[in-house]
Amino acid sequence: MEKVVTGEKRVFMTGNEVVCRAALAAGAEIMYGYPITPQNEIMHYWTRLAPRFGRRFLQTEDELSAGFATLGGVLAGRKAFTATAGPGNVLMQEPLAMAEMMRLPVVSIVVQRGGPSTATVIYSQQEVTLTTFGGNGEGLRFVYSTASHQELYDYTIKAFNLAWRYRFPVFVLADGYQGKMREPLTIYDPESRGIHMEETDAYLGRHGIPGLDRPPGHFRNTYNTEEELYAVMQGHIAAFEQAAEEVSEYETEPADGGLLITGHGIVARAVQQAAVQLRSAGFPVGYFRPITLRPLPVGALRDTAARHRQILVVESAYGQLGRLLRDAIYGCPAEVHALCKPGMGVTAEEIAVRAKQLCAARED
Amino acid sequence: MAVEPVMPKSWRLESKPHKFCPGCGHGIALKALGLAIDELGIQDRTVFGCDIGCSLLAWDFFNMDTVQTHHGRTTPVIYGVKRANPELICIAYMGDGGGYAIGAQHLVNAAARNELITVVLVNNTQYAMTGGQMAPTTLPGQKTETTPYGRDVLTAGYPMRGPEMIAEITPDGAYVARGTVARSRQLGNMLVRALENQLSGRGFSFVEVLATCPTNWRTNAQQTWSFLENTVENYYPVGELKIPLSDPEEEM
Amino acid sequence: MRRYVEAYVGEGTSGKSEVAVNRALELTTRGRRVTMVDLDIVKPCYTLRPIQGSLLAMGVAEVVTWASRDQVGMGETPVLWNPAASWVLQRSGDIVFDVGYGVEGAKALALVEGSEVEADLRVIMVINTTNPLTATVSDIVEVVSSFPAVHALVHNTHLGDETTAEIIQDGARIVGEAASVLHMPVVATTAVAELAAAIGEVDCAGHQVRAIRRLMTDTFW
Ligand code: SF4
Repeated sequence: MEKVVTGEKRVFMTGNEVVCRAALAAGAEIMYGYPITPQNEIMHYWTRLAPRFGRRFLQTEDELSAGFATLGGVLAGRKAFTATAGPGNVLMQEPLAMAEMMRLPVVSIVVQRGGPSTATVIYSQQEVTLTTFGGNGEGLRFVYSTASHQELYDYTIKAFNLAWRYRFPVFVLADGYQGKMREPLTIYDPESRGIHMEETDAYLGRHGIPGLDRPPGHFRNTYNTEEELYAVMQGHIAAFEQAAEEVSEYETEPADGGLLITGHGIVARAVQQAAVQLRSAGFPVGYFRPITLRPLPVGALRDTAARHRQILVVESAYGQLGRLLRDAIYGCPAEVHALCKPGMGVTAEEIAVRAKQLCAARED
Repeated sequence: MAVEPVMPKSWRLESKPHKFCPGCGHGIALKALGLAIDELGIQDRTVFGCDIGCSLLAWDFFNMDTVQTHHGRTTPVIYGVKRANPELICIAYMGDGGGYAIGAQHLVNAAARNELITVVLVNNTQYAMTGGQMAPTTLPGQKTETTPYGRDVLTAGYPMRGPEMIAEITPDGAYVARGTVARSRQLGNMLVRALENQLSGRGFSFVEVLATCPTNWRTNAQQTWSFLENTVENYYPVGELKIPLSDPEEEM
Repeated sequence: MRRYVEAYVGEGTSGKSEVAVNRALELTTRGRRVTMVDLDIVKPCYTLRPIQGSLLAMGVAEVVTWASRDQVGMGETPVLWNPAASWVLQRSGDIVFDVGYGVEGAKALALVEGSEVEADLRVIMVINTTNPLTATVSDIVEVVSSFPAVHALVHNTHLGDETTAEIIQDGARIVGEAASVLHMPVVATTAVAELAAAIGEVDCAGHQVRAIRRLMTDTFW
């Protein structure tokens, strides 16, 4: 296959184009998609660039089909992916539940838009609950929340590798700001950085006559007794928990005895900026950013939370990250506060204002 | 001398007897399909997808790679497989609810795009696995669990004529037929032609199979066949609805 | 007096809006009447709307774009054609178009009444060599050829806040070479003031260097 990138290159582009280039670099062979803003440009760039490298595309009739056809692509042994947003992500949960049940390595890029319902096409962090625990299942999927174009590139590549290594569906959770924003990043060929790209293999259509040369591959997602399902789920959950140790990622800079500000995705940039500013102004403020929202870095989160007296959860949603975090740190004595702006961006300045109030209240 | 029933080569002995009820049309439909696959010698490269509903009971039916999907979603999974690996012969097997109701958008769009797959849709005039509710194919006046006084077309709407619709919306190159389990040799020929259509790359192929469901029809053997051959076939005429113009056999 | 009718096109992240806005301001400071037209219908089209007020305050005669109040009640970010844009060529004075990205964006120009016969119209393509779509001579030649009727190029290589004079000079060589293959003039190399000063009046490929201000940062996209 022709190399998509040779060596390393500092470039300037929009996030959606970054995702497309990363998928190409990761060796994605086919994309299935359905138009929905703000992810459309992933398809635009893919349909423009993919034919140069012999990669394929199918525009389906809706997101259900895009998702299920992606499962078909994976079943045929190809690195397949899709991208969606908002109401499309709702429909995508049905195929993704099947991927969860059957351990199919599907990669989905979610470019969050405002909700509920059709709402805005611009930005939000309101698809956290849906992306981490959507579908009728247990949330056996990996969800990366990216904060920069560099991360969009790095984690899209990683998503394909993790999916095929662990055989769980993987989401890259971006947002409309990241999709449309432009900033510099370094693109590279993963192999040249020593990143081993996982091999794929086919579930369906393997070599030989089934029943004669090999057993037929019979894959299902339905069981007629509770015991049968329970046994299957025990296996899946054990595999997920084992993978969770290796997969979960975070960034932190604690401030013992002080205030810990948390946020994910692009909001984490503002959180980090606010924490750094406040610290240099003498306030005891640290930050914690989960990079994987599923599985959450529970151990690190609990340890870090325990070192602080207060926690401020900042998000462009009404407590979706907050619920995940509160659950993870249950029993920790730190007070938990929230700064929620559903469907709106959050600036470092407004975080700093709130953080100062909390620090001051604590001293009173 | 005892008559040895012929089991298609592509069937999987280990999963027989199959899971369908006695007198069920699925068994006959799948036998015709198995024989068609044997005749074409494509067992080693055929991928079979089955839906939710009684069609799912075929998940381990064949000595062929098989995936059982969600209700209505076999069509997109199967064209997803075909798009990703065009070498494979891909069959989507489903019921009338899966194809004409919850998965109608997939069937319509796959047909209109002329996806190179074969859809086999079993029409037994109601939802069988969920216990006999009205389906898009339930006949006017027919009693089901959700039309206990008979399907009133004014309140419950009219039945769907699937092959007629598919024949209308597909481009030349598609093959569309309606067969019945009451004439399995004719049905077998239709399935061979449908699969040939995919093999030759001509286009989409679609076979609706009129089938029996004695369990939910609550009919004995005689009533079952009579309902199928008289009432159902009368409403849904059996035959080929669309043959590719480029079909050499047709040109003769 | 000759009037300038210029349409700035280019790939996403080329900086075409920035270049167009700076050109409009430059013409304004020369005392000319300038109408700035937002032709970006490549969704979501947020280019000039947020800075409409400041452009007017800086002396641009008119800014034809959607006002925020026009967008309320439309549901999604609209890809609606602004009827005022259809007739802008009838106006007196200079016209500067900021066109949406890519080939599809550039085609929007055809929707402006009279654009196909407007003798003064110059379509200027903005190139940034740090976008992989226009990174090499052959990429640029291919992309420019795919656009409808481009008359000239502006070289605007940049890496956002990481831009250096060397990056611009590297870009200048590539764009210069592409321009000679295409037999097209390079109107200018554009750079923020301090980098423009560092490079001097002409860059290494002999293109005139034009200092620009970064105004589009206020539009977010
Ligand atoms: S319920 Fe009807 S369709 Fe289902 S297996 Fe029994 S007879 Fe066949």
